[in-house]
Amino acid sequence: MDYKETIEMYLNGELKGEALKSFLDHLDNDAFYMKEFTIRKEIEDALTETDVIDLKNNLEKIHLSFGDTKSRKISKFEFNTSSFRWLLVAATLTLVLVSSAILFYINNESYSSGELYSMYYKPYDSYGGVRSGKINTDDIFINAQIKYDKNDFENALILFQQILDIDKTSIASYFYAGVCYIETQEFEKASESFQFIINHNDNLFVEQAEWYLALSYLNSNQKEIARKHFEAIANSQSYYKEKATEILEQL
Amino acid sequence: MELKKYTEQEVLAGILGNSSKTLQYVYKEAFPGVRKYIMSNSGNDEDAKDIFQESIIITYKKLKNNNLVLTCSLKVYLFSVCRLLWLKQLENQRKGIQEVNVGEFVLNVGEDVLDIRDQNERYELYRAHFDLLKEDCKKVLRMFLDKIPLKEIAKQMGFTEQYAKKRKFQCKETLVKSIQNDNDYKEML
Repeated sequence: MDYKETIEMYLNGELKGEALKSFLDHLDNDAFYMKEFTIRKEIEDALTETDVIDLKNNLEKIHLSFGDTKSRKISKFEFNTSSFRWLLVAATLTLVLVSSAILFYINNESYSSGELYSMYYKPYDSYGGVRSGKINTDDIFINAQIKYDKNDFENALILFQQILDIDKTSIASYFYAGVCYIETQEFEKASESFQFIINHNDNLFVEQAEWYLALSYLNSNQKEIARKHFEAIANSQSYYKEKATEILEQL
Repeated sequence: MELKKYTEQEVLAGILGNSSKTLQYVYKEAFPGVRKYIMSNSGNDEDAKDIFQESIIITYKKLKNNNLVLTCSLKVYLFSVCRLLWLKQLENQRKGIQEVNVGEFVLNVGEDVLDIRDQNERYELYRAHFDLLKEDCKKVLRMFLDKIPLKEIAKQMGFTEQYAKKRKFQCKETLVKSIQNDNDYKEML
């Protein structure tokens, strides 16, 4: 078999047993083979890193609203422009595909609040490994994040609560504690955490808290309250605007 | 970030969540210093924008991979990353470097920052080449990458399953060759 086909089979997860072992040995000992593997693997990574593409799109929008971009330079980075166009198309297509898939299911099957919740809920990402020069609550926060990252939500929650016992202003701890409460099925406490953040208002978690609060209501089958929260999100410039609109179409 | 209003934890989590409010805040707090530095050192507005956005993407990737080590404020970290990226860009363009107006405290950021920058450049190039493929190739590759079942891909494309796999392979090879023949890619190696 051609080596390129073998690499593609590996990337597709189709190599097993001896064939896989032989492939990995070859990869370790042949620089040319490794080079061929790397480009193929990187292409797949580049085409699937939609989170980075979303971030780039968001940064472009923010830059336009932030200030002038008068002097535009043509340089070796020129491909960024056409690539950005592709990124926009890709992002739009992805959105259309995902929306279509969801609408397809929605139009063909009826979902309960719980099922809708399961389709849209995922725990917020953590950044467990950040180390800083500070100590005390920062150290506890890092440990909490590490536990959160390992889906050990019960113990992460204990640590977030420890921080809140020391520092009642730690909005990040309120937020992650809220997600931990969702994960441990304590929806009322989750709602309290998110509501605190929303009432506080002068912080960077309001957008996220509104989304998770609405999902908490959805999961506890409080449809009308959930609807009001999703409507507020859908009518805002929130990152969760499209998802909230999709849910409203089903509620 | 020299936080006037929000905690570093809030800002880092916001970057990780692609929160517009957070990114606007970061822009407001950190971009003017970076723009001033780049414009004082042979750059223009567009350079400042590219470099600053790259520094945020690098920070995002390091956060996501749990390997961001902050020994200073986030604002100083971002400025230091931007400075390193800009000095390297000037070096690559073989422009003389007589750095002026550093203006802010800087620190040595790890070499992995440049590795991530290089990877981002390659990924942009790959995506640009993907964009040049024929429509059916893009569709087949996209469906495989989205893990759509082979049976469904074959149905949607009007292929047999065997041909769908073969077509995917052909399209990927076209893409690989197109990238390998690109002079920018050769320079990147």
